[in-house]
Amino acid sequence: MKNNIKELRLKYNLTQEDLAKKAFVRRETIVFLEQNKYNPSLLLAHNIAKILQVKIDELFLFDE
Amino acid sequence: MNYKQYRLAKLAVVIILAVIFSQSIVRENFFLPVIMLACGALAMLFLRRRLKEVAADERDYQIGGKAAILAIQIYAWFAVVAMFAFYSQKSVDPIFEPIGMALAFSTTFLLLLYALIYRYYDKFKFSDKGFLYTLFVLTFFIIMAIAGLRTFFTPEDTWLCDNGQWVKHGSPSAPQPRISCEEKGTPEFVGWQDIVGAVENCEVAQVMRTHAREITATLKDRRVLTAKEDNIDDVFAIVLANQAKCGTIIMATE
Repeated sequence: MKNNIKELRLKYNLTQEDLAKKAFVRRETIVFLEQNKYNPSLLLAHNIAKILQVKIDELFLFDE
Repeated sequence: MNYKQYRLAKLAVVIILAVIFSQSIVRENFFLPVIMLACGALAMLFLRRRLKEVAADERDYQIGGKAAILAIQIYAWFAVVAMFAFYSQKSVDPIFEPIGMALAFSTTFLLLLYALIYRYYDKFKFSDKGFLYTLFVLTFFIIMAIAGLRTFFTPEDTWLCDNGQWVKHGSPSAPQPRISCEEKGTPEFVGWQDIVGAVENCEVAQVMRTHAREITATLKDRRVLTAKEDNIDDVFAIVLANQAKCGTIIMATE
């Protein structure tokens, strides 16, 4: 599973720290998410999608 | 308070607790660490509430869960192997037997606790921690109550002399004394150095040590001396140092 978190975050001029604060997670979690090293829970995916104003399936790209 | 300050404060609390624990063990004051542990827990709770940032998120909990399972598995394997090793060597030093038993019971308790908590999480809500804390506190107090009641109401595990026969009282871990119980005299309370002197003069036939470091030395002339050793295992060190000179001195412990 890949994601567009980094691109969308930069689009809104958010730092990893800003996004982490808004999503109530630690900055390291955002780092791991952007490096595709961590699969988030549905709740976290929903929160990040909401912050970045996209739908979950636009944010996370599933390899089929 | 930010996360960095929180971690520094947490480290300070742990260092203070470690110093107090080590000093308490040296000074044999076991009441103070219990109180300090409670104070430390309260301090951590206070610090956690002052923290404005996220201290742990779902990724930490996921890693924590995996690390906990691995740690339990490693500990269980290590403890089981060490337990058999200690138990098989109990004839070398009697202290190995209680160490082996402690490892066996701690491993069993840990695995039971894990199974219980797993069952709880499998059956109930993930977010409801109140029940888990209540269960933990209740279990702790039940164990403490059973241990306390056993101490107060169960007679000490030892060998008693009844009509010229050694009779088990409770479950003594020490073997049955080899001398006739009719020959055993009334204990004579002496200083620790008197027992050391008796051992060094080859007057002692056997020594028995309780968990409370109380030494009962039966002399070859059938007198019985009782004293408290200065440090744990002092008596065994002195006996072993004098066995070449005095021959075999029977050693027993609780």
